[in-house]
Amino acid sequence: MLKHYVKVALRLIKRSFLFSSINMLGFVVGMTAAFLIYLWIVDELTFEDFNKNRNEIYRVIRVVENADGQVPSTATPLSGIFRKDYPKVENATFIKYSNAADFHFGNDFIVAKLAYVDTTFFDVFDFPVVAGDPKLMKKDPQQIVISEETAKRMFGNASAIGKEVIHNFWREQRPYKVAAVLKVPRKSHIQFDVLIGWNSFLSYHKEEENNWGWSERMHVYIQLKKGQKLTDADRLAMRNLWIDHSQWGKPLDFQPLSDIHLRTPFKEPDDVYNHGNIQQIYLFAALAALIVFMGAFNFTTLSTARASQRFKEIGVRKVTGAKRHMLITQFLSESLVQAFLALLLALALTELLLPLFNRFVEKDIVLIFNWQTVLFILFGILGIGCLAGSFPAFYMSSFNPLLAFKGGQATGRKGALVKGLVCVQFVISIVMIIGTVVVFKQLHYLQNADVGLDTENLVMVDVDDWREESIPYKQEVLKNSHVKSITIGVDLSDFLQGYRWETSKFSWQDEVGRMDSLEMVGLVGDRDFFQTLGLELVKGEAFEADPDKFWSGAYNVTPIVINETAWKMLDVENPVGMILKGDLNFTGRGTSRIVGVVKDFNYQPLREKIRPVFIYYTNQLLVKMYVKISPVNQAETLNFLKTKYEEMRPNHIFVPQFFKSVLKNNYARERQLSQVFLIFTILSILVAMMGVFGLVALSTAQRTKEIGIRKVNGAHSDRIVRMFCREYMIWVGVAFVIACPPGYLFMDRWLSNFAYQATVGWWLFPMAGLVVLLITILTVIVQTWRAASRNPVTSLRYE
Amino acid sequence: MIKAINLTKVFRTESVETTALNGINLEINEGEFLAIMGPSGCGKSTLLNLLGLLDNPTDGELWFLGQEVSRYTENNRTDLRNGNIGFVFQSFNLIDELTVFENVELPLLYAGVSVKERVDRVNAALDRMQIAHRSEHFPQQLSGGQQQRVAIARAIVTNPHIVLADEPTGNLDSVNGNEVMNLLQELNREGTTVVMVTHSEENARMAGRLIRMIDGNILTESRK
Repeated sequence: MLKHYVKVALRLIKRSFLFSSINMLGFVVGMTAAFLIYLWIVDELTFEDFNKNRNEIYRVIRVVENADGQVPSTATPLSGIFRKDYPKVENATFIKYSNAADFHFGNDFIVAKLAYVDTTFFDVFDFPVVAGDPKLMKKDPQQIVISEETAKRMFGNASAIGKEVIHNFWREQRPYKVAAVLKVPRKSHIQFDVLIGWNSFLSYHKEEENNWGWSERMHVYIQLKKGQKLTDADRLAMRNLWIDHSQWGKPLDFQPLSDIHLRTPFKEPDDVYNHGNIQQIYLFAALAALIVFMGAFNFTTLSTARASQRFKEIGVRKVTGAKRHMLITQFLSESLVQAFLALLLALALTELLLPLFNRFVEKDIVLIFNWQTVLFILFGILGIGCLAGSFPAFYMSSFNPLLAFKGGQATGRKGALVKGLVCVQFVISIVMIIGTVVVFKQLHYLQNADVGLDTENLVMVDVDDWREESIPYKQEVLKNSHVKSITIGVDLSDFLQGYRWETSKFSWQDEVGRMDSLEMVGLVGDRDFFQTLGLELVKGEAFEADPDKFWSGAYNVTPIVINETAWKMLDVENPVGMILKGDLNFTGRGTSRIVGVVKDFNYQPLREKIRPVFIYYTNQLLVKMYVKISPVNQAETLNFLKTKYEEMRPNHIFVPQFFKSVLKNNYARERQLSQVFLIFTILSILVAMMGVFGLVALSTAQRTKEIGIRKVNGAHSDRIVRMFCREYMIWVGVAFVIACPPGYLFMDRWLSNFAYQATVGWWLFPMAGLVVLLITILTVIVQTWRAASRNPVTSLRYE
Repeated sequence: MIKAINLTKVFRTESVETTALNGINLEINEGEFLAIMGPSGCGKSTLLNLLGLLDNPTDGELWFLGQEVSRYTENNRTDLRNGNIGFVFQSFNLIDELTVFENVELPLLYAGVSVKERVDRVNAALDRMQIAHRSEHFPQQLSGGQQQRVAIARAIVTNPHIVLADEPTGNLDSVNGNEVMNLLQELNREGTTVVMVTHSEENARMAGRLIRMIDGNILTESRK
């Protein structure tokens, strides 16, 4: 019997190739999109899978009182205490990230990401070993581990094991030997080029030994005994461990390793790469499901609409003894066969599109047949086939054989369902268009909004803490007429990646003698900071008061410049000259005087609101050099800056970036989202229009007689086309009304993620409806014109 | 074999009520060849459909092989039809996607007959209708006469007690029409009961008994 069903299904596809193609194309498009998204989701959900003990590993988190509530950096000695005092803990380790550092080999050198790890690091984490033995680090502090990519950069295809590498730390040279080369999986939150043992670090920094204070960029991990889970009682028992040992201690929390990639609820400094977003997974999964459903709806609508062409067959089968369940099985197997064929095509298409998709999502996903793929295929065939085929199967099998011979039953149910499903497709398309336009508008706004800085022709270079030594360079390059201005300060493209600890609390006495206080974000810059970055002074001056004391830091009272937001919050008429008390970011300087006020500017992406800021001098945190250059001969100017830099600052590489493009990169997430939205919108419209195309084709075929009679009675072709168009216009109209509320809701909720939002006019909604309407009308006209312009005699004869 | 007592069929739409059969009393015995004649709309096809258990009457009793079937569900009727009744239609009603062989095989497939037996019986039926050489062809590749022979083969492949034919020659030329009538006569001679609706006096003369209908009533009844 099954053979019979499959045979009939295949012959049916061959016979009505156009409809079957539309049916299957909807499936293929839907399933391909779903498959790609599915592979992406599986990839996202399998981060850290290379670690054998992944289910037992937790990252130790510091609970703090500020806005985000949690920070991953803690203190080194915690790992030893965890190992010693908690029987449930099998092991503990830590990694301390450092800045990019120079590593010399032979006569050459590279800049690489460096981190320090303790001896148990490789007992906890299982980075795949390419060559050598990473555990040699335990015995010999001079042994280091490098990533496969770093080994290639340093030694090409030659073996790196045992080779000498010299780490330049300031003016000191620290020699090491390569113990092992490791693969650093893309799906690891820990990314490094070079790992050096903590013991080696301590031999140069004795003061760090047993430092119970908070250590920046220090991540501690614990590994529980096999099969153990951290209970609430365990968490409670270990919560105050740090406080118990140190006056600087904070409460602790524990984040499962598998949660780090997708469920990190706080902002991390950029040591931890590859962060995903569970919300985005939900969103993309929902989009993929929508496209699949749209494909399935096409199948349902077309199959139901096509039922009239199978009345005779249904009648014959019933008369010759088919029971209802047999017909249901037959029709379902037809949809399963189509789903199966569509899935094969979708798999092929996925394989074909995967390289493009990988480039787009910056992954290296490959299509392999594991249980996940098999699951998807099974779901694809059974789930989608049944979902799409159920209604037509139950509907068609319900015909009375006599009515079937006479041309079906006169019921409006089918028509309502078909219209309903087409409406749903229109609704999805309209909502998708609204979503896409909103995301694109916001992205455009983010990338082009006036951030209060002069970003044109501004070059940014990572100089990693360059202090007084930079003065001769500045003087030298300013001799070039194409170099307009130069400054060194903090990273203003995304200050501390939204990480909020760099604030100082200032207090002052107001007019009536009461003490008031305000927490402000501290930005560091030298005296050319304002001019080079185009910060606009609205009051006072910019560090001009006492320039000679700039580098020595010999201020009794530190001059600071605040922004307008701070001025507003200080709530004074003229802040210039105000004396504020408060430690300037651990510099030990206690008293500051406001010398000027600058217009508000965005030092973080526009997702964040501008907070009160003070700008001050310190010889720390001077990490980025900004050079304003003239718009002409930029390549030459950059070359000049590079030559001079590398000449005057040996062992450093000049890597310039245009500030404007760096700012744009802050919105990579939004850009990716906008592209995904665009693709899905096009797909949804395509699938919806395939449905419309098929339906119109069917209804023109079914209404051939009506068209003929209308023409015999004097209707012109355009009038008949208009008649068809009018029907679809009503459906689009209904869909538009339904689509507006969810479209508005999406827009409102998504935009609320941003402190600064693009204005979206009401016109967007009718525009989205109009786009769908126009495409629909076009599809209807193309399809009906031929039928409408046919000779009426032919139309009637066909009938 | 079949007994209709006061058989009534009324079709209702929202505003119109049409009485297609108005209390028909009729008995058909095993081995009979009955022809039903009458003008269009007289109810002859409706009567045939009720006799073939394709529909339920609005009123009255219908006995088929000793069972009162007038209130049977669609599933019960299907069970009873299967193997007992064969149908031949004016427009042949062959399934376009199936070959000649598969079309004839269909009732056996639904009856759950084994593959080997199916093949034997289908081949026998096709041989009997002299259409075996076309068994792998699709209906559209056959002439009207050939298609009707396939339809008859399908009707008899289950060895039914009765074959119901609704204007079996209506779509055929005279040569093919005669051929079909000869086949039906032959079937009847071999013991199959045949009930045929027809417009043709000539065809009706080939039956053993003729009833004429008008406006849902039996007007006259005559035997050869």
